[in-house]
Amino acid sequence: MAKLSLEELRALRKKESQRIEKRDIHGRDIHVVVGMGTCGIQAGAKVTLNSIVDEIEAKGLKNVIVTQAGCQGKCDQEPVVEVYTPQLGAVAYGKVDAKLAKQIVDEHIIAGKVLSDHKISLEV
Amino acid sequence: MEALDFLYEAVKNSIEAKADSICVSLDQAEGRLHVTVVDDGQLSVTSDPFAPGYSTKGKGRGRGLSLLKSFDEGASLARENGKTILSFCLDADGPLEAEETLPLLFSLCWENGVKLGITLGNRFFSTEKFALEFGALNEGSAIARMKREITSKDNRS
Repeated sequence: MAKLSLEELRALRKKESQRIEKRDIHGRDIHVVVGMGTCGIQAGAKVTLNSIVDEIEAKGLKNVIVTQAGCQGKCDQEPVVEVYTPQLGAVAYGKVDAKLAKQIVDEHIIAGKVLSDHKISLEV
Repeated sequence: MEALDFLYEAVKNSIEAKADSICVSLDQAEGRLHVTVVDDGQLSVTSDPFAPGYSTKGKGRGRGLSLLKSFDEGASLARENGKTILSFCLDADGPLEAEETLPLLFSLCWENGVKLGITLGNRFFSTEKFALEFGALNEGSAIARMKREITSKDNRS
């Protein structure tokens, strides 16, 4: 096998570290969970989730994990969105439509402010 | 519920049935969407799976297939050569807006370690291909990029 030059080794290291960074989902700071049970879907959770990812993309946010969960027993509050950030911990929001979803990205995730009027408790 | 909402539910069922891989075929013609979902998960049906309330997953389950049957009398669930095959056909007038649903399915399957391949007309998308392009498919930006990819391919056809 031919020896690699120092430049080639550096390029290889850069490429591999980028690949590892992509795969390492545990290091992500922000986690958004959208309730996508049958009740959530019927209440419009698909539109909510699409609105969240569109805003994440529009604002150029990296490292935000978006997970789809099942019903969490709050069917009357669907679509339900939970947001975990290091600064604010876990906060759940109810009846999240497309507009509120964008607000959650802009105000909660980016500005670090809880939207108190829409906050719900997930305790059943 | 829209036609692709039933697809979303069907893929969730395949994941729950511990499938390693799921193949979906979507074919829209004359205002109807033909959907076939094939998975290699488990299936143990003892009576009519389309009967309301029939479920092997416990209380509160067993709504999906009976609801599907009310929309499509011809919906079928079969087991052949170790594969479960669900097919149904629903009204789907106008644009399918596949980009609103398919990226969510790829993300969900990727997160659960399940391979998903979807044939949409004459195009093919898969978790493996998307993961090579976009890395972690449960990242918000990756879901948005899959949406763009599916939309752009939609417009080209």
